[in-house]
Amino acid sequence: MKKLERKIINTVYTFETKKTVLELILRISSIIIVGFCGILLLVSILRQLIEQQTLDMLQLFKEDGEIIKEYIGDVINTLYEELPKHDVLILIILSVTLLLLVLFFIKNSGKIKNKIRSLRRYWKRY
Amino acid sequence: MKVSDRDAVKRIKNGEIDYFSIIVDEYTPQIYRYVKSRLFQKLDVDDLVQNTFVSFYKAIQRFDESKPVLPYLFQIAKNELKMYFRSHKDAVSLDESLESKSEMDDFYTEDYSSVLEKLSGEQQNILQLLQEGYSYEEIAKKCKRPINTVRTIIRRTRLQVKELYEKA
Repeated sequence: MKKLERKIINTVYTFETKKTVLELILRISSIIIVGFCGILLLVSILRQLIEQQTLDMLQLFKEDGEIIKEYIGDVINTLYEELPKHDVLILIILSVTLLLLVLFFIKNSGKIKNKIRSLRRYWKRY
Repeated sequence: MKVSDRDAVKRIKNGEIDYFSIIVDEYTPQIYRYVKSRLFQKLDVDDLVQNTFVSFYKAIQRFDESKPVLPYLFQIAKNELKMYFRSHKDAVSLDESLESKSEMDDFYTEDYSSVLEKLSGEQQNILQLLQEGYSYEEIAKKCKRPINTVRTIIRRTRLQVKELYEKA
């Protein structure tokens, strides 16, 4: 019976090791990929805005309060019109996805830590 | 210090896999006895017991820790046994069935027909439908009888046929 019990435990640990490693690889790689895509998109949007000289409008904020008050509406309107809307939408979606992925990762980090600790202890023994 | 099943399951759910050995140590003998009472090949018994625990481990996140573990394990073992029997059903190859066709023909013409004559009309009818490959549900619909009644009739007919053969 002891032999069978050992065999069961070994199967469970083998299964869990594969699952945990795969889960870690998937989680980390998805965070890296989504983050990397987000950064690339952000850089491309910023480059586009610099080329269009749209960002020069932000110089307005160096002026007096009254001038800012007077022109802020126009500035926001122009910014909205000149923004590459599709890219910004994708960037927002990517940011939300990244945030969710990181939150899930943080939420499960305790569980994953415990699993890794248990697995290390077991494989060290055998 | 003895850890209760509830605590063990909670901890396993939290990633402390070490606690699964408590469940395995505690319930392996009972599950083993249960499976062994239905199977006789030791290797298969070991495999089925192992599959039972691995399936339980895979489903542990969905398991409600306020419920007892043993009935759940028995249910998994029962399902594993069902799957085992289904996959080990005797299958006859086509050639073999062709070879034995003539023997079967003799069987149907002599013994079988004499046995059939001793059954009631309804039993004969249901047996005929069974041979044609109808399911219990379809037979119940055809005969306009509840499915449980059909099951009972089939069970009794089988016993009756067995007895008649033994007498013959």
